[in-house]
Amino acid sequence: MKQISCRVTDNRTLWSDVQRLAFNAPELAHAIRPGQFALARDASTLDPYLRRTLWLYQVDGDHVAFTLSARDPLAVRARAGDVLDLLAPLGHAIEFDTNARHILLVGESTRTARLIVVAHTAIARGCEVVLVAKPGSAKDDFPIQLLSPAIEYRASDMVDAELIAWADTMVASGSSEFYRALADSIRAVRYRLEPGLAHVLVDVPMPCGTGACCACAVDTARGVRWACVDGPAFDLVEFENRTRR
Amino acid sequence: MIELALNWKRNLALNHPILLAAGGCSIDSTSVGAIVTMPLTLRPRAGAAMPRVIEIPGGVLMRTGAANPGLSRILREHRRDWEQSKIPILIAFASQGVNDWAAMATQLDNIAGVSGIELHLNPAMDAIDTIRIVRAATELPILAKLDLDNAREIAADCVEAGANVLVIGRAPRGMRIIDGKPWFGRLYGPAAKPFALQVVADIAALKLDAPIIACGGAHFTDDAREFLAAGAVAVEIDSAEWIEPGMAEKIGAEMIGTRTNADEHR
Repeated sequence: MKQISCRVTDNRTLWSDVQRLAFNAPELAHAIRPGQFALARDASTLDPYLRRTLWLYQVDGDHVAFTLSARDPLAVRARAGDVLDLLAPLGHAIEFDTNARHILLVGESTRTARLIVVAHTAIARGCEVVLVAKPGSAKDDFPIQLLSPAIEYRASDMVDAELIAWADTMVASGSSEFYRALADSIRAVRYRLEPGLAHVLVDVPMPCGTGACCACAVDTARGVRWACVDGPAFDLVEFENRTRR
Repeated sequence: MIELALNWKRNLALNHPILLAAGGCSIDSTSVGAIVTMPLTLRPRAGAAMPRVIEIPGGVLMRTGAANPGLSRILREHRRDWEQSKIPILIAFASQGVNDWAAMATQLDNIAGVSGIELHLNPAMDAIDTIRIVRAATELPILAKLDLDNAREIAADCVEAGANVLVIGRAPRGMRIIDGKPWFGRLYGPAAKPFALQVVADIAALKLDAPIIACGGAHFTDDAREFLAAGAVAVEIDSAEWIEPGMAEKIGAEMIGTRTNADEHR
């Protein structure tokens, strides 16, 4: 993790509550991987107080883009040319099985945005990718133009059994309830939930990025872990058994 | 040097008046007076239900439920680092049953690199009995971190019961109404400083036989100087480290040359 001053190159709403914040940050663009994130603040003020979690959205040459809530004060105020203070990259990258060729991505509402970089990275590796998005509401309908045409997109409340059987690797982004339902669907189709099959992005507050503040504790099968250090992507096997209790 | 454990069997000497508070940071630091670990319990704790963090103007209300992996795992993962640390390591005890605290104190008593324990007392605990029981379990210097709500009332008794140092104090408690229900958390951020500062001054005026470490809302060098002027010998930096990693070291560097209350304890 490094602390970097980065110049904002673009700030726009992608859809619904999802804002895209882009930076010219060559070092970071080459270091950050899908699954990792950044913590950002405007160093000239303590308002808002905490650093904001930026989810990786896109890497393009020396530029890196993240998403955050469009209502967030940082998203509302940032202008192209502003310099923000970033701690990044934070967390662990999602480790795919190198033999995986069929990637199933499952998103809930606007959290689906966090899967876009995973989708494009998998396509670049020659994988086949299907993205299933559960709409939160009509205005949350996923804007398919954000995806490469090589990615198959489906809008659905449920993940088809056929897709679950097809997938070598799954990555999901949603709520705890969403992950429990996904685990049930996987068990119904594959009879068991295998370690390494499904990764989930845990959405908890991550104020410090070092595990010190204890706000991002996640109860996993391996004990208490910190989303900001050990995650935010966790194996669904580790995560969902504990959240049922 | 600042000697905190006055007239006690084991020394607790700081070479610097700025400390990293419990939960303040886990990044390696080399130029602070001491590092306080995250608040630990004897057994793992999963933490509070969401929400755990609610921002307010001037800071943030947090309720972590003392989430931590438990003392055994922390010892396994960090014991070697502590043994090699040139900076005193203070183990923070999260609020829990006194028997668990006594067990933790016993377990830590002879761990190389552990220089003291910081008890996070809350008003629901019998602070005096608790300190006595922990005192009997360890010769490590005890830092009693008091709740601002009752620090003035119990500070003298805590020292009498065996606390070597008073830490003033735990983050102030506050409330929000969330979905029609009360939600309680502790206040971190600049807004917390005036509350802590006043209690530090009040307890310093008691002239107890224990040094005071201030904790709460210090974000800038002038904040630390105010705490020292109010009677503290040292200052713990907590949430400022979340905002700006290395802030404790930065404040520390700017403090060099500042005459402090610690000078009277040298």
